[in-house]
Amino acid sequence: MSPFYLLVVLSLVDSIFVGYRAAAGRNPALHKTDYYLKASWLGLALGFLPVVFLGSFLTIALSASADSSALVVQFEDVCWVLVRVYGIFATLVLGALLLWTYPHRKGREISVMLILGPFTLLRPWWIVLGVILGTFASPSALVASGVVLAGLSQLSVELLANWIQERAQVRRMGDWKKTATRTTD
Amino acid sequence: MHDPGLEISDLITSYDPVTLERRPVSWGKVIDHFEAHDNRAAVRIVKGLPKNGQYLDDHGVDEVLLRSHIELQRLEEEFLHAHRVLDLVRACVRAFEVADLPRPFRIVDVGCGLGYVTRFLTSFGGMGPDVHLVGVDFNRALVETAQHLAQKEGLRCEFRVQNAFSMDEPASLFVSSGVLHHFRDTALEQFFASQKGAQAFLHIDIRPSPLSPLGSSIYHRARMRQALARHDGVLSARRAHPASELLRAARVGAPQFETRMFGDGPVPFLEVFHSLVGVRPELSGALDRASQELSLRISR
Repeated sequence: MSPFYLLVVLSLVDSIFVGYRAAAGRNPALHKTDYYLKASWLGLALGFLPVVFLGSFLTIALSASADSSALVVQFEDVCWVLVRVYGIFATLVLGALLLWTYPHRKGREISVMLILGPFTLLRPWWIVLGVILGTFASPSALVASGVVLAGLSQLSVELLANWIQERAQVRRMGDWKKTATRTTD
Repeated sequence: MHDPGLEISDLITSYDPVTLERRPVSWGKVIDHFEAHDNRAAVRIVKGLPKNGQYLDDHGVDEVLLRSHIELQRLEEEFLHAHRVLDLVRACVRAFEVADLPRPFRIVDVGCGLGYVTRFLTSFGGMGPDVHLVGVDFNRALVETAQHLAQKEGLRCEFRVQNAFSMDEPASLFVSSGVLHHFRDTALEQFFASQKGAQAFLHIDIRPSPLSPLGSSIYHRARMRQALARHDGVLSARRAHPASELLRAARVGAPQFETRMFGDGPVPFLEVFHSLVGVRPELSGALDRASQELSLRISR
């Protein structure tokens, strides 16, 4: 399988989690299945931005290259490096999530405290680690710049998702205030 | 160990103990407290709070508290906290039923904040019409939001700005989550003494361990967006009482109750929270039987 597709899958799965995380801790309702579903869809939609962006970069780079097939091989080699780095992270997180879904408090506490919480903090640094290793593995400045752009665009998904969810939270809190004022009046 | 002082949320609001009217809080005095404890992070956070002259701005403070409580609810959701409360509330209610106590049973959630636990118990607890759930807190903004959420969710629980221990109708069961560590020494004993009119109490808080400050720090950094929520969350783990202190204070303050701990097993990091339950001696046997039926293990 082409490492490009694997990287796209990893990027989109990460974006779904980013969407969920950006929405978490912003809504005190009890029933939030729809809320989190929408947030995850939003994350997925935002996840296509880096894919489209990098896809365009790749297309332009290949069309401008004298030897496009050699350039594809170079990009593929570096992609494998990124797939390995991010694949380890994804495996650990998905493993912890499996433990989390086990409906017992202790399982949840352990998975949240030991893996899910710390890995949320690690995520941006892990992306940076992948970029560093990918850059070192790049045979040319063009491939290296593709790696850097990939990392930056994936990091920006979280910023964008948080910005959107923050605005939504401000709107929700404004609505509560209006309702509370009406009730008090 | 260095004493970082109180939690920020303990100091940035103040209420008249009788009327519960909000009193202005001088931000300079709050900063003085944290400077005296060399808590620079807290000083920075307080300096960033909205101000109105020499006082903190009530609306601005409420907004920060509201956001912090929403984030706190996320923590409770992730740790299935309300399920933990529900198990123990069920055991207490079953003990009340066995003892044929007068109905309705009134469960009062002390310091309910956004009322997550009260709303959860109402929505998922399977409590019959004989059980009346009330959440009380001093902060009007939190209580109004809790009431608004409950109405939106079609729940029959009630939220009030009131002192939980001076309500007209007596409580059968007092419940709290993350409240105990706000009190120390005689204030903690007094907290238990105030519950003498009830049939039982159930208070859940962070279980301290050598690992809990580190775990709490990592978790709050990962999950909390509000600097205040991060600061107070980490401090809570440091200020949490060990089971021995909770049992001591409960036995001194409320000797008319038989007390026991749940969730205080031998491996500390496997249990993030522990629960103190006190019941009238005549309900003790019924509670223990109900706990066994629900597979709840008394640890002390």
